Amino acid sequence: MKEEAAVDIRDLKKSFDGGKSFVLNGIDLQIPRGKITVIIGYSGTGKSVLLKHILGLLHPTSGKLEVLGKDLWGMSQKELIEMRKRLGVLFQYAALFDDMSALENVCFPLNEHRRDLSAAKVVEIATKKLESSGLGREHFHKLPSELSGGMRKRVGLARALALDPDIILYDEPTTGLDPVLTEMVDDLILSTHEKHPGSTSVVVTHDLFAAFRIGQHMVMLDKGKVLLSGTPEDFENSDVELVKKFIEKGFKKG
Amino acid sequence: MIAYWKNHRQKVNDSIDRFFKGIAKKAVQFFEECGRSTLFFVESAKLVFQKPYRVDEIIRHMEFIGNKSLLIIILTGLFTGLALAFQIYLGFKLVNATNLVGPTVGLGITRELGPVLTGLIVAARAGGAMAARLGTMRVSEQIDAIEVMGINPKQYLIAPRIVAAVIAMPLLCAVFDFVAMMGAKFICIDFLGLDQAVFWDKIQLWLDPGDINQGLIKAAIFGMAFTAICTNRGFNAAGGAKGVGEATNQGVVNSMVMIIILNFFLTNIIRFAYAVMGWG
Repeated sequence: MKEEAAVDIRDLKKSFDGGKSFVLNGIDLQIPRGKITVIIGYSGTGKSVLLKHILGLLHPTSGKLEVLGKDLWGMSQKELIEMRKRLGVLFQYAALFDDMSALENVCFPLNEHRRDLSAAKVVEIATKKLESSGLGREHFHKLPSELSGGMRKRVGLARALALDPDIILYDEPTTGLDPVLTEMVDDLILSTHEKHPGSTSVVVTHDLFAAFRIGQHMVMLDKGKVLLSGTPEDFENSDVELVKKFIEKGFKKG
Repeated sequence: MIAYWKNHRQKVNDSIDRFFKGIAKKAVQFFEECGRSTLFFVESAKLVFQKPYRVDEIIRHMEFIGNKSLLIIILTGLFTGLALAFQIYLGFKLVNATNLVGPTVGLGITRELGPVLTGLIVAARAGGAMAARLGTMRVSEQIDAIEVMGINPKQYLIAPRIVAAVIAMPLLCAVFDFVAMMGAKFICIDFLGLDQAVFWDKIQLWLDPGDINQGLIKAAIFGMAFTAICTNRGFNAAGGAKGVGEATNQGVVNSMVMIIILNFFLTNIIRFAYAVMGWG
């Protein structure tokens, strides 16, 4: 029996100008459950737009998108909210609420969705999440503006994991970070995946080193379509000209 | 001159054409903005009645809109009362009607200047801050983060601001009215030497609670208007820091214009309503 995909996308198209041009031009993609899938591609190929569709932030022009076996756009608002509780996102620049401390940021989704928990229990869970993402206790009460880029990513990840999601999505997690921090974020993604057995991770990046380091399944987009989908070995041995060029240039640049 | 006109007729015509088209475009944009803000307001206001009720957020925003605007409202109210009373005194002195300075100032302040100036000041201060804050949240993906957490961002961010503005604005307007009347009292009685008993007696005679209520109703509606316009602008901001700047600027400008226009219509609507109910 074929294993059910965490995200199943069929002929997904997205146009922002009434059909004159398509950012996503017929994406067919199955993201496997329980693995780290890395989506790579040149800038402007629709990686982030695809991610926003998976999150339900953008409505497709046509096509079908199922997350955890459920059609995202056939859902009621209530069902969509329930579905989103099963997704955790680490945004490119962490998107922390700048008027809340690191701890309050992680408490926020718990306060919203786990109203059965006492305030002390919420703080206890948030503390554990922050500690497991590697943030020192001395930084818990600092505002995001007082944290470094790496610390912000750790808080963002802790917040994304607060509700123990089934799918964790990372939008360009290493963009703008130095090599040391980049490696730290890669390790964080790997250790998070190990600590949450069964969870699915989707990483959108154009950092090839990171892609090969953490990816168990890889997808390359080009001109709004899937150019190649397979294991890292498939990519290394690919004969597709664009894939070869991307890998060659990516590693040279790195 | 005629030769110039003949030679440049097409150019001049084009310029005039462009001028009127520019005005028409601005007018259309303004009405589009009104429509968008109204839809946005209705959509968000409905969420006020949906669980979870965000009482703590409402109180937080009331503190920002109300308490933090208090000083500027007191200052503006005081000097408006002082200046208005002095000007009306100078005018009425010409026709020996200085005993009517009090009620004239009172009616002007409670019906018109109180709500309008409160609206303009709070729209500039709190409305601008709302547009900037929400715009920054939008471009830094904080609103997306709220949405993907399964929280309706309009219910969390917009609905409490609307409620807070509707509650805080009449309170601020009442403070403005009170301080302006104290300013008028100071200039008329303590400075110009008018009779205190006549001053207050005439105010009691001519000023109805309905006049004060009219201003408070207007203030609440201005609160809704500037909140709808500024939050809509901020919530839908795009394009980084430039987009946030534009959202703030247009939010404040449109709110101010809307308050002035709304004031005229509200004056007539409220007077009509009072007449129908037999209060006026």
